[in-house]
Amino acid sequence: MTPLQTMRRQILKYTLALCLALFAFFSTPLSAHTINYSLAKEPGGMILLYYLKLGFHHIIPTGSDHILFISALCLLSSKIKTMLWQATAFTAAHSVTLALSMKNIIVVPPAITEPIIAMSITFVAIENIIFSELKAWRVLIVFMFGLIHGMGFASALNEIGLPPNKFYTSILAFNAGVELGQATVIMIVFTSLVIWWRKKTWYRQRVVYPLSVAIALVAGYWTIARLFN
Amino acid sequence: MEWTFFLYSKTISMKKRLTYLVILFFFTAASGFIILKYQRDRGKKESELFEIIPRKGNSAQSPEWILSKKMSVGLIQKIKNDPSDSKSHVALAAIYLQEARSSGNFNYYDRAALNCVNAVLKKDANSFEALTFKAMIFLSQHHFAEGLTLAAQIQKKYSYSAFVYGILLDANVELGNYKVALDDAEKMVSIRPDIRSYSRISYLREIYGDIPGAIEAMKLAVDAGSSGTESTEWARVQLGKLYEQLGEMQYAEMHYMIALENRPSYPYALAGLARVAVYKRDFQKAIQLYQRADSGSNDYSFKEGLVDIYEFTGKNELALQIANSIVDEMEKLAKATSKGDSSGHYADKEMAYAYLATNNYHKAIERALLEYNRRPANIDANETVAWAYYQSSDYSKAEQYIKVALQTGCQNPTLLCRAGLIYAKNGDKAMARKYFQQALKDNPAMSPSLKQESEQAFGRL
Repeated sequence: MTPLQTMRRQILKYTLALCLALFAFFSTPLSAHTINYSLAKEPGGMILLYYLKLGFHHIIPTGSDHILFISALCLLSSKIKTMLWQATAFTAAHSVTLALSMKNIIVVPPAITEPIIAMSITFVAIENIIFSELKAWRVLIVFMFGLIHGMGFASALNEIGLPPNKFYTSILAFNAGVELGQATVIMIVFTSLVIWWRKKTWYRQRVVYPLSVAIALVAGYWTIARLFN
Repeated sequence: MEWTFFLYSKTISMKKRLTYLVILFFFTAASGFIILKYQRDRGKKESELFEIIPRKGNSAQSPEWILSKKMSVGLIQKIKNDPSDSKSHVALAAIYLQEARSSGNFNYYDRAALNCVNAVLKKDANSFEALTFKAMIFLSQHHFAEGLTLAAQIQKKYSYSAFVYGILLDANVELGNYKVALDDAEKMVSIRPDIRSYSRISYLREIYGDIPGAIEAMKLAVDAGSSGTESTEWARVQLGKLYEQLGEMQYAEMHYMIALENRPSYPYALAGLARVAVYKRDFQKAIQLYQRADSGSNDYSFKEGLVDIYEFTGKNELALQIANSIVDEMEKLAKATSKGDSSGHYADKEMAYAYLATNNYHKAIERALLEYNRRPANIDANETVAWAYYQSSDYSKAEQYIKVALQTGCQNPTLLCRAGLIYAKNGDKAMARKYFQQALKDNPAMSPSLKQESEQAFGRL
């Protein structure tokens, strides 16, 4: 490994450590996650299905902010490989913070996560306008945003609560539901937009730019609304 | 993929690089602003000291409120002069908790009290008073599991405190751990036989269907308290309510009158007299009494009483108008409290009934199930779900839940009538007859609509 590669790896490692330390620092000592007693009596299969549906439902139809974020990720490049890299980074990150938040190891209040989630959508939408290819930092940025989105998922999951005896089953099922929701959004964006026009010379000017601007504006409005409401 | 870092990339133009760096800087700065704004707002909220707000109606002039106001002003000033003054924080929290009971404004005063106890716990995490108050606030906010956990922690350190056993008992009752609650009651009364322990024993006996025993214990509770205080008159009103279940309305009325004499315009006593008036079919008087009760407290049950009368007397539009206003107010409160980072009040059971009054069965079931999910063994939570399903014509599901609601043998006529109606709709005539007979044998006081519906269904069996 060259010295430059070593340095890059270290920068990546320290950035991630710094992000986690920052969230831990600003976290608040809240009470434990909501407990769902009735589901504790239900069989494992039923719980799995319940949280799978819940996770999916949190993306489609109720998670308009997550839908816009995923759509913005799809618009960067028409290559499926690009999308997969970003989706993997996003999934890995939000899975980590979702579990840590539900275990009360990291607890960041919605008053912080919600406006930052909205801002992250604006960020990736603007990035789509500046760049047309996937770069390493984009994956890193998406990973960092994934950490924040994970905390947002945790707030939603807390409303229903988790059965105390099936913590991991329910949280994994919820995560799987979220992934299914994300995959559905990616599929819809790809099949309705990308695959039809990606080879056209005007694809970026007539599809990527206007859609990214629209996404950035909506998310910008959400940021302000969530911050001052 | 080319793992090229942004700063080392040779393929990106300087202009793009600069633009990106500016956006990145802006994003980081904005995130920092969001975090700082949150920290500042939270700091402000946590150190906020709440003033005692004027009570509604006649109780606004009561000497008790004037004294509370005077004491709270003094304590707030002391805390402003010395923010680390734990004694004043605890004393102020006690005033807030008392005001919450007297005014029915739990949302406002629980938040106020929580600020005070958190300030004390920051300094001394083992403060007995602050910990017990915090557990009480959890219960008041209907966060029963959290209240139970905290009370159990306190009990380990202070094993001879009757007060802590009281909190444990309340939490266990609300979570449906009735047998554990019975043990708590025994320990509590053996340490300190007073109004608090007797009234809790009375409630447990009521849950187990022993109404005469409950009356006996509640009489002891009333005798153990000092006349005119909120807790004593509250116990007296509960005694009246127990007599209502037996149809002994003359005794119920007598206790409400005494409560009003000792504590003029006491809303719960006025509501008691309203129920007596409904029983006597004097609806005009009942409406006036409920309106007076409602003008003195933020408790929605008085408005619900009005809805019931208007529905029964055919004034459906008026009933729906009030029911909608209850739902709107409750939803507003739920939204306002959920915005805070600390948990707000759970009022899903109350909201389920409010939605039922507006015929919104879907929302009623949703709310009832939320309540049930938090405490599936509690008989009231099960009764609420059962009734929501019954109203939406899902009788088989209603039966599943009413069975759990009946498990302690509670003889509350409303519960028994609902059970009778559910079994009747499911075609189980024997069970329906059994519950109707038990419910109606003493001609008890209850909602006139429910009573009429039950009597008609009983007649058809």
